[in-house]
Amino acid sequence: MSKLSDNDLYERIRERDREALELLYDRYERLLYSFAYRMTKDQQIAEEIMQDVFMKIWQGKGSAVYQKDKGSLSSWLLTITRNASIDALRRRKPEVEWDPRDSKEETTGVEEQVELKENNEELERAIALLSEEQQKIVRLFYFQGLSQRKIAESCDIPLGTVKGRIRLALKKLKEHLSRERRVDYGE
Amino acid sequence: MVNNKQDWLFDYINGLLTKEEEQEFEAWLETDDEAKQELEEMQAIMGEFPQHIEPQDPPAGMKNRVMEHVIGKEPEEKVTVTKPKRKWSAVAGALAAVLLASIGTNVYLGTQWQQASEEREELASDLGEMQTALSELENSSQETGEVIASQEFAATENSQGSGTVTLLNTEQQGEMAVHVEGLEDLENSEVYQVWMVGGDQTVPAGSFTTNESGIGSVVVPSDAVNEDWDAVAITKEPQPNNEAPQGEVVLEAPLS
Repeated sequence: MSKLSDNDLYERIRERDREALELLYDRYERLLYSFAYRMTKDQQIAEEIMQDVFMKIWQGKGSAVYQKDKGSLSSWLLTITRNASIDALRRRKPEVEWDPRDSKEETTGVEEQVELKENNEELERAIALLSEEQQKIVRLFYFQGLSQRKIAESCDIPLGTVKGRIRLALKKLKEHLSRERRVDYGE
Repeated sequence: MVNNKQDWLFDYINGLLTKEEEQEFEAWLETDDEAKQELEEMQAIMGEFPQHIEPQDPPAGMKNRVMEHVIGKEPEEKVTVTKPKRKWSAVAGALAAVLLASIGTNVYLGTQWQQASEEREELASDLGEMQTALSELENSSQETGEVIASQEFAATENSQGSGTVTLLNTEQQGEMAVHVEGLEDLENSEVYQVWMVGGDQTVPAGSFTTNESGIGSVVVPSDAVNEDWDAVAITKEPQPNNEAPQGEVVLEAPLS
């Protein structure tokens, strides 16, 4: 059973197979937990997000049903983990504001510069290569889940241009990442 | 909110549209291949990012906690229900009458509500709960049983919970499985008590506690499942082993 594909495991979970749920959990625990932790920076909340995500998988109601024709199961798991993380952030901080300490240009202290230089997270290194505005857009959109209107207000750019700027920032980030090595999650 | 549908893309991705807007946007996507491709492209790009984050060691014991939260506790207690005695005190009879009156009202309201709600989601939910209850029965008896009845619990004004009761006969005995969700936390020695209700009789049929998510279940071996009962009700009792209900009815399911 451990060699079953993700899709086979998911089918078994839909048939209320607890062993299949555990196997899927074992396969994705580290990736999903790391992602939830990266989004929320809080161990307890990240664990609650894991509970939320696997509850949705087990119950399989409404929008929490995986559809093969919309991509891989792993992408879907990451999507629902991100959504759950954003929901948790909204509950904790309903009106998230841009924190200038997250900006590369604002990190002027020696310790901060060293920290940045030694940052061994590929995603963070790639974000640091973006322009200040793009960094801000990525953090507000991707990590905090803000609306286009709030991003427009926070970045002081016209609402009509936000979509294009988000698209450009995400594509640029992907370009930088394509030069980086992927983290091995041992899947 | 922005006005044009092509500009809803990133608010859609972040789950910021209303349910109606979301449906409108998805319907529109089906008519616009370019927009659909753009959505898929952005989702694919975003799906790459988590592969480049710093791995974290999950907290010790997280798997057990998550699994317990998701699947719920295994049955904590098995209580044998004795065959109902046909002579009950006037007090027990009065309590049974109250239980039945409450059940009648709520079953009617529950039916009305169910018809008006989204049927597909409800059916999926019912199926999941029934399968959970049956799975628990399989675990406890390792036998295939004949299902006599399986009913969904209706919430009362005292609870927002839901759940399923299944009565069945195995080769050796009758059994009743109760699985519930969404019940409020218990305090001190409180338990949720299951009752078989029929005529002027109210018979205790096992008790259980819930986990931190309000999920609880109990499997009760009892030949009484073959008796002619009107309903199963669950009350919150101040302590276990009450012979007659003291607390309020939180869930109820008709059997006839």
